[in-house]
Amino acid sequence: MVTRFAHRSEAEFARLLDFYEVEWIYEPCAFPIVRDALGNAVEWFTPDFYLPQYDLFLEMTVQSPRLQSRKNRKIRLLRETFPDVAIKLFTRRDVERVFSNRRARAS
Amino acid sequence: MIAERLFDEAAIAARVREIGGAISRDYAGKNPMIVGVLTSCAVFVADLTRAVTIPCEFDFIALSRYAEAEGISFIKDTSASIEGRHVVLVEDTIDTGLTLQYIAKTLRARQPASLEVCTLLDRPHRRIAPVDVKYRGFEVPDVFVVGYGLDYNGRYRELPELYAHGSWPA
Repeated sequence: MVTRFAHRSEAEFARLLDFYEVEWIYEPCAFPIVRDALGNAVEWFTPDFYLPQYDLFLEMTVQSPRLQSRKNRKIRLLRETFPDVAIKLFTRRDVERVFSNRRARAS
Repeated sequence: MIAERLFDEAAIAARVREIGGAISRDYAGKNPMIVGVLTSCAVFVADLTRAVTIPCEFDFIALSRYAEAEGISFIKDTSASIEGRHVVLVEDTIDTGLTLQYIAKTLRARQPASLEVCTLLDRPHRRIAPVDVKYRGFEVPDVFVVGYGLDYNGRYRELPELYAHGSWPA
């Protein structure tokens, strides 16, 4: 099955994980991060990747600082609501530098 | 363009001596095999093995590169078997830990007596794969490091100190 990624950088990151033989699931589930007074979920957060090997969610931001601050808020809420869930934020700079490092080292 | 010196020769030598001393204490009577991951760690391995004061052996492995291969694999393997040996795996830098988890998984399948990790540089803030690092040279900020064996498209390996490059490669 072909995964349809929302962003090119996510596809490239998936290729990187494939290269290292790391299993990944794209947008595996949505977490209710805000509930109303009646307990109904009113806001959800879907991390980009789940790595079962490490029981780790990855969220990638390759967006503007304004959109990144929205993601930071969602991650903060996720951590408050689900403290046992491990999630790591990869910023645009992190992503670029991971690839940059792998391109620039001669070996 | 080199922007800033991070660690001078004296600081590197002192840290290498400390790590060499720790390995010597931890592996006394065990004849450890120090396995470096080519190419950037070569200078570190050369200095480290001379800072180890007990009998030891050293060897190297090399891996396929992300930019040039479909999947990761060893393109150079150890010359001797590691089965039953006490292995200290030496990296130049650990960031995501993805390379190291592959190497560790592959080497553990060969049933060494033990396997520990030593790295010259560590960037733990970018870690994805959990890695137990027993011996760590320096934790570095988010800069591209060159010198002391580490290159930028093949350059700067010969420099005796560690520097922050002025930019990250495009």
